[in-house]
Amino acid sequence: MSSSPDFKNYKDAKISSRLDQIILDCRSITGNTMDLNVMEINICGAPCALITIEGMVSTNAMAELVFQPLMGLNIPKDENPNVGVYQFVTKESLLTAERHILYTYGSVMQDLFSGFALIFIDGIPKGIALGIQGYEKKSISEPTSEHNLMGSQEAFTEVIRTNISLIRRRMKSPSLRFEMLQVGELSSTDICIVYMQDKAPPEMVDRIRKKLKSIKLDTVISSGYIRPFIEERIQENLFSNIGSTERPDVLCTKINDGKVCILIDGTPFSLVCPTLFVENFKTIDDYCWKSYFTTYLRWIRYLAFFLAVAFPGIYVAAASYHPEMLNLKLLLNLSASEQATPYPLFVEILIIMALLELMREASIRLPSAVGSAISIVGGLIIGDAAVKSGIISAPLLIIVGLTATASFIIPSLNQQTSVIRLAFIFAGGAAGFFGIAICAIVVIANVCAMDEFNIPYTAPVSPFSKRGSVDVFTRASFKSMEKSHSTIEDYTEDK
Amino acid sequence: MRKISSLQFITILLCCKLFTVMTYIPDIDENGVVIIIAAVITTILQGILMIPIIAFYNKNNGESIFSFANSKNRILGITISILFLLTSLWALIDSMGDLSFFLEYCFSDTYASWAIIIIIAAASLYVAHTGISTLARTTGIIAVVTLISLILVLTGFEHHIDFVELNIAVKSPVNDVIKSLPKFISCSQELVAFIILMETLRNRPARTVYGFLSIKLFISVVSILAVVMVLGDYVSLSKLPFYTLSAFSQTKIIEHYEAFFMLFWTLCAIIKITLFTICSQYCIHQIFPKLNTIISEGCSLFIAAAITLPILLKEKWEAINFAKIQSLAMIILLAVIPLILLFFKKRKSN
Repeated sequence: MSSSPDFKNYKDAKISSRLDQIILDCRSITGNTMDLNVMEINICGAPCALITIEGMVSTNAMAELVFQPLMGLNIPKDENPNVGVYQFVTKESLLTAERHILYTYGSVMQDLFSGFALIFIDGIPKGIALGIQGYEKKSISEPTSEHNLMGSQEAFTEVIRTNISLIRRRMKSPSLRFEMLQVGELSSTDICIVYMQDKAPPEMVDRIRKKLKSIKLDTVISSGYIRPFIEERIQENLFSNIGSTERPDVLCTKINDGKVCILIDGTPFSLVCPTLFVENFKTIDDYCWKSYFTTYLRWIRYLAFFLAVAFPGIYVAAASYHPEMLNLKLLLNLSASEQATPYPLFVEILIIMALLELMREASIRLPSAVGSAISIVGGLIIGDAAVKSGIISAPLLIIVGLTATASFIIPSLNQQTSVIRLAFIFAGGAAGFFGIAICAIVVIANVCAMDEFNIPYTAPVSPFSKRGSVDVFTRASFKSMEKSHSTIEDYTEDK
Repeated sequence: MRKISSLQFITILLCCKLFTVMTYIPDIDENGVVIIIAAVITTILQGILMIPIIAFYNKNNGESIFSFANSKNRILGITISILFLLTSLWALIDSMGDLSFFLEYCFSDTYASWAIIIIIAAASLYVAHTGISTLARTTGIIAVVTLISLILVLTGFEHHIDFVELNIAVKSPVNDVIKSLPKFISCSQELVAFIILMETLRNRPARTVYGFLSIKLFISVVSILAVVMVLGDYVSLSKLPFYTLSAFSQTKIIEHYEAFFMLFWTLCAIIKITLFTICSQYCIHQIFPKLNTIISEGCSLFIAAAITLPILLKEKWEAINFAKIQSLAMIILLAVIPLILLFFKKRKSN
């Protein structure tokens, strides 16, 4: 008898034809883990085994769709019962919607841990996997990070197949493609590439497919694990060419723009490749409201981004180095309030920015019930006390409050705004408007240098595209979209 | 090397020109009308000077003069590359020096010239290293913001405008215009950059050249009019008229615009320095094809900084005036060399 494969060398090992050996092999590979269920039964004289993982299959479905038909099976006496059962399960019945034939222990383990019920028959060196998954999962809920008023209230869940159905329900086109891959040497996480065959550039799909297949990580738990493998210059760029969304309706608009999306099992956040800078300022509600109102709101968001990034730095630069540019009354007020504080403006703003970041981090990490207490403690008690005790000036509190509020308007750029804001404060504090200019050009150049998949991150503004920029400076009307819908390929730059 | 569109190229050249226009140093006896006429004539002359290079481009299917000269004779190729490299280095020195000198002059308490030079060189090296397409995209954003802020500055001094300051009565207009021409032609560095980087242009060059020259003329005339009509005779006393002009500008929100001016002036300066760093790198690449890009960019900036800094520290920057030699060099680089190469036989395509 050959030795059983173990968890290190099972992947390419062929399934034995002897049932007792198969059971032994399965126990050996899994180390006879406690959640492995092996049921040996005799169907019409054929020794069979049904192997499942506890909690991963639906017991009701198993009873109705597998046990009942198999127990009622009649095989003619002149026929080999082993072959008969195999023929029945694989060719003469529709026990479940999903059915795979397995030849190696690699595929056995993949399906077993994915919640399939596996049937092995003595004398048949193959396994049959039946899709009757029934593990516990979260139901479809509202989006947590992309709220909207008038759009859909459904968000992706942690289960990849549910997410696929959410997309298919909204996009009933035969050109919609789902390509499933397994990534992660140990976790074998299901990853699905989603794109529209007639809209996504084939080279982009190929590149993403190759990149995903080349990942050699042990585990892939969330979208952040695979993002660095798709984005080539992730270390050099402040922003990211790969966006994410937890909304199926947003994902559908993205794939309709010719983008490629990636669903990852176990996380409700899917990746969007590539994403453009201006997309951070768009919401699904924009297309539900009047065009003029959306245009107004978009400009408010652009202003919010500017305030969140540069306002404290400009304030420090103007107040410390170029006070002559400020209005006289404002200057006198600022001067009076600054005279009462012990530290220079630059130090003051650093203190209050550190406080702001501390409170923001605390409110995210703490349970939501306690999180609101942090904002009361931070906003009312610490802020008020700091001003009254003269550590910081009152105008500065307004500046920081405005900056914080502005940064909440664009949550997708939260990481970047926090860090770039600090860079602007240092630049403004160290060299006034000259420092601001240097910092601005370095940041703008860094953003403009991003062109993953040969598509500039700053498109359609720079390089300018008349057609694309209509939906940036205003909101494109549906009638114009009806006439010509631009895709991501329109922004491709020649090499 | 990535290609850029005609509009992007115009924007880059325009940003460089904006820096030159904003750094305009007037001669004592110059008159508003004379300066405007000189600016118009210079633009027409530049348009004529660019005809040979456009013809060369059309004849040789977009081949650069460097690769063409190299294919004819290696020494000729190297000589042309050195001439253009020297001009690029001079443009680097000129821009770095001007920026540093005027920043120190206007904000002497805040900035030291050596620190400005180092910071500018580091920022330009970073932007140059990202490539011409990144520079083009960056410039697209900066040009729009700069133009908007310029309009803002221009709207802030409507009460100070006085048409009498134009001094329409000129004693000897022809002589004065001819006297001003070398200085204006010497400020054609952008066109040299255009010739060096013409290979990166996606479209035909004529549109870019004449588009740029038209917009440049408009901006120059508006700027000169604004400076002359607002500052009047005070122009002659001001070392940096545009800075003084922005100090005059006032709105209900901002009392003085000089800090604002400095912000956008610095941005345009970095664009110009970056452009000429890329040009220097391109010329060095023609001479030493195997040299690493970042090394040649770093070397160009280092040489420019090493030449500029001692001049600034010895306070001799204002004494440097090579307008006549520069204008002659411009004519040679812009027209004579392309004209000579135009007479060579077209290279057979492979």
